[in-house]
Amino acid sequence: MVSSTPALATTGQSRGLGARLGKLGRSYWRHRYLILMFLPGFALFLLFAYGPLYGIVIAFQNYSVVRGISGSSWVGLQNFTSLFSGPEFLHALRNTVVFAGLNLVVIFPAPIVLALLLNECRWKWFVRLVQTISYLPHFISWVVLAGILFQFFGQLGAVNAVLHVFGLPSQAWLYEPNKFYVIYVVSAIWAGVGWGAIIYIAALAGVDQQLYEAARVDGSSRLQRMRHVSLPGIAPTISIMFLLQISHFLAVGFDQIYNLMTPITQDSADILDTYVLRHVLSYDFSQGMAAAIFQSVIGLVLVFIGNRVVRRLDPDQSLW
Amino acid sequence: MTTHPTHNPVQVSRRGLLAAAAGIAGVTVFGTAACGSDDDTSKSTNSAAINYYYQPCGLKKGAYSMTEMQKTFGITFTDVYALSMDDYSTRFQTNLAQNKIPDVMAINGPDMLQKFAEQGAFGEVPVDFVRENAPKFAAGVDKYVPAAWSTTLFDGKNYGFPGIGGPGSRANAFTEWRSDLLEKAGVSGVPDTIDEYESAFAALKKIGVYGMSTNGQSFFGAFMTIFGAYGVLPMQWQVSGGKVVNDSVRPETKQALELLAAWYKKGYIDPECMGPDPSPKFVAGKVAMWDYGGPSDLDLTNAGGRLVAIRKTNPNGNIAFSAPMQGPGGRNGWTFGAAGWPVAFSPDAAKDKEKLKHVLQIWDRVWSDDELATRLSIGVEGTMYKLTDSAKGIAGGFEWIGKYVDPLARQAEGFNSYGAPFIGQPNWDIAASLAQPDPTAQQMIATYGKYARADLFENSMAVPGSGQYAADLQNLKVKAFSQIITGAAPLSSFDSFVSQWNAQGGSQLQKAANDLYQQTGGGKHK
Amino acid sequence: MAVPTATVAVSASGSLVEPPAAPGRRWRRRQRRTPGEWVLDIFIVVVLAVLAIATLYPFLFELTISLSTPADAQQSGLHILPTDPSTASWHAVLASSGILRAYLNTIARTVAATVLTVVLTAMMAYPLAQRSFPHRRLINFLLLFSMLFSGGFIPLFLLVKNLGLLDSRWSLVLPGAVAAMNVILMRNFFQAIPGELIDAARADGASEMRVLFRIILPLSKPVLAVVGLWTALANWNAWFDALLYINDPNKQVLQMFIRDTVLTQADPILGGTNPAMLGAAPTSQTLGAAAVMIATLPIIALYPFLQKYFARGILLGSVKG
Repeated sequence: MVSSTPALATTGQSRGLGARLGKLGRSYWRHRYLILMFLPGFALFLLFAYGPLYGIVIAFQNYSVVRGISGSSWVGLQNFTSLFSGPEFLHALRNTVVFAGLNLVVIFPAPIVLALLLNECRWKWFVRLVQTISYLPHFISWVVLAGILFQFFGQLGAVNAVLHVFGLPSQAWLYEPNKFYVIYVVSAIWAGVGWGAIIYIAALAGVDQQLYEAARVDGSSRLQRMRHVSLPGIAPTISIMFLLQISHFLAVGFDQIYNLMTPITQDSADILDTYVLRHVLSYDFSQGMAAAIFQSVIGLVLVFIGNRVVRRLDPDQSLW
Repeated sequence: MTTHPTHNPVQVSRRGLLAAAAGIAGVTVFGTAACGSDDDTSKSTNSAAINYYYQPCGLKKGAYSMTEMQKTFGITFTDVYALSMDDYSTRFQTNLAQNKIPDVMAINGPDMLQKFAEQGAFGEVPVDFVRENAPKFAAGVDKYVPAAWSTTLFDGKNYGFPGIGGPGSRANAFTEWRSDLLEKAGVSGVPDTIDEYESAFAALKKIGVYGMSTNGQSFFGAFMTIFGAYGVLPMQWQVSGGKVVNDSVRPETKQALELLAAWYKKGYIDPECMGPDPSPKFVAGKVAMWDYGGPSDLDLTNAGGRLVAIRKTNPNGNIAFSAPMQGPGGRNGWTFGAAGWPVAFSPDAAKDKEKLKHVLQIWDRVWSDDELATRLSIGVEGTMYKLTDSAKGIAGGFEWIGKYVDPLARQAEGFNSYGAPFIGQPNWDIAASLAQPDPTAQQMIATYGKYARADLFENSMAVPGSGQYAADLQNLKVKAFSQIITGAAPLSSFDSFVSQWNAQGGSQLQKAANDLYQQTGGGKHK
Repeated sequence: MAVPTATVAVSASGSLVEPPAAPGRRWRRRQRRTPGEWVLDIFIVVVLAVLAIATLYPFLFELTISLSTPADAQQSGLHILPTDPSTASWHAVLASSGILRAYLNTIARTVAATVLTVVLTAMMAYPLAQRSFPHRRLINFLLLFSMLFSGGFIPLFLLVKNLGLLDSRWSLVLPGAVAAMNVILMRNFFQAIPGELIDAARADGASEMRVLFRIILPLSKPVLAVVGLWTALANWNAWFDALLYINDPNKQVLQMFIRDTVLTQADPILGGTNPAMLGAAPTSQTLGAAAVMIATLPIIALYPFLQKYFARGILLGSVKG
């Protein structure tokens, strides 16, 4: 904001502690109304997001629900070492990274493309219809979605029927390890693209109409307008969503994979979450927490790097 | 995709699945579960005030069987939770976290009992005390499911008494054939031996039908009758050569796998049996044999029955039940044993001898008083049900009447589908009749279900350490067997599977199983 | 004070919504399309139509199963229309006593949580959108950190219990009221609003509250719609918090109610024990589908209702230039 520039200009200068406190005090005073406005939500946020956060220490305990955190014994890094030393850990980690990569490269851009296409479509009633329909799979559980996929890609399913028409042999789509990646990407886009596009549709609604007019007057084509007006217009949203996505890098679609994998494809499909589900002792919160912390720390490192890059490009779009 | 805002912690779904998995492990479920002390008053010495956990859910306030219970025994249920099996362990753990340990509780599986006994959630109750105060029930356990006594043990101490499933829980899934397809393929009768299966499958292949399908993803159900024909039921503990071994790693298992791999290669087995629900192909007439049927499949009045579904599209469709395949190891089907949810006491309640006695006496009375158990399990004749043959009594079968035709309405009164009352369990003389009102179905269970074989310990989870290793081993087994059967891995990989099995906890479990076997005198508790 | 602020807002939204869009459309119609444009148009429509059919299908499938007899539900096939329509499963779920109360409880929590979330989130995001706001980076980091790490459900349960919120409807509303992701997104949108608008209002003596509610929020309808939609859906579908915090059947929410009703019947299947004893097994598929439909149909109607806020041209850029 324009009004804040003078304040920023002075931050770089080194001063004494007293001066800094004085400056902080003046900043508090100057923002007193904003602070008052900010506090109710922030207090609620701190209470419920950080209040229970002490629970992560159970990753370093042999936690007993009965004894509670104060009564449980400390085991150091044992939960982590047993997590990492499990027989299929490296395998699951490798698969998880592959799926996470597919998430970023193929699945993440899909809702952006959908939003751009919707934006370009001339028939507004059609746009509204497609928007409403495309988010429906979000309401259907993966158990049902997977059941449908198994039927469609099955021996008697529509996909193989189409292959037959073209004289091609039918494929066991869901029962071959190397095809699992295809199924993963297709089904993830199918089930999530409409839901994911909502935020970009909203962002496109915020793009300045006059920029489109100006571009048209300049005689640019629709593709050019898409590239030079729409895309830059929603770039801030894309960058934020991208940062949030890499913060959950290792948290790939558990329900999806769990329901789509078969014993035959398990070697390709096994991810950290399915591994933990099996490997972790029943009712063992400590091991589960150790796994969650591992995933979160990786996410934190990645988002830290990503945020640095973004901040250098445009400080306004960084996460912090 | 983008995440939508939710404040449920990350682990929720994972935990839910774990809980569900544990529920499946805790199998032969009888419907009742324990008293929970939800307020401080119930921690007093008033042995008549009891709080309850009830599973399954759907119980209404003032439910019939609950009210009857209070009247009969002069007790008060101060609070009743009605929970589904899925939600049981979550609720249970939040109660533990607030130090509100129920006085008495049904624990969903011996593995869960072991886990929480280790944490100090339960009080020790000597077996002798149980035998003294529930003598008739104890005699029943000795008679029918002696191995069940091991389900309440942890680290040499006893933490309550076993809950045992009804005799129906020994009944297995049936082998069922599309007899119309067999006829069409020119096969006379229903195949019985391996050779007969083989030639029937070959004939079926000629008419474009797969010989068989199965729940390929199931750790217990996958090809159970084929393994059973070799005398093994993978994942069960059995005695072989004087030692307790797991059926997953025996040489006979490898032989069965060899046969299955050969059949698969010849195209006798539906490749989609490894998918989530292979049964629709049986209904559609693409598969001739399905190994997971039940009496309701033949029932033409059952709207959800398989035969009704088949006749929808094929009026000539028919189903014939058969005994499991006959092989070198006889014929066997898989069943979960009758040792179900153990009943444990809180440390406080374990000190309150009066309360302990009271609960044990209730359990004993329900077990020994058939009239009472019937009333508590299915209600009043003429109001809730009517007898098919009043001369034969409940054994002649019964029919729900009025609004009680709806299972939800029955649930609301505290009548569950296991034919067990609100607390306690009926004697095995009537338990099967209470759980299965239709005498024809009972007859079928007696004919085709009798080949079902249970684990040596009547519940494989009774082996200490199961909670830690079983899930991993189940997964290892399902994966290795599927890959061998479908040809993704050679038969020789069975040997590396065995060493992997041992390395991932199989050896420890085998040692624990043998110790338990010694300790309990061959499954029978001393 | 009120008068000048109002003028700014009116001029903003007034010139924004209608004038630029309408002439644009007319202008576009007059222009002759190149063959390339035609190809692009057809391509877009085809892609969107395929997507619409593919994404409509699972919902249609579930709807059809819910209206099928259990025997039909077991058939293989597309299940696009019920061959032998039966409302038995709908009846079974709808006839459960207490479902109406469960509906009302869910509506109450959804409305309360959505209003509270949108208001509190906007009040948090607006100060954070000011680059001079003290400790801005620290707070933003705290927001992100909370998305990555959580203490599990037991500490959260104990917190809610110690606050005395067990069995209170607030236990369903307060813990999730401020989600970091919503704050981050809203802050991001607010940052894109031209500073001149705010400065002008401030110069006119408008309070910060007034700036937020009279200038920022009217210009931010798309993001408010997104946050409102996400919050409403998350609350409508939530059951785990109700499982933890609510014992009183009179306060039980719809999802938990349906879960109990359907799971009661599905339990034997989950148990996997005695298929020989199960009469009702295949009915649970139709019952489950009916439960999903009954629970989701009302909330699905929310999206078309909010769509007008996604219509083009709400934010006026002319002020900037």
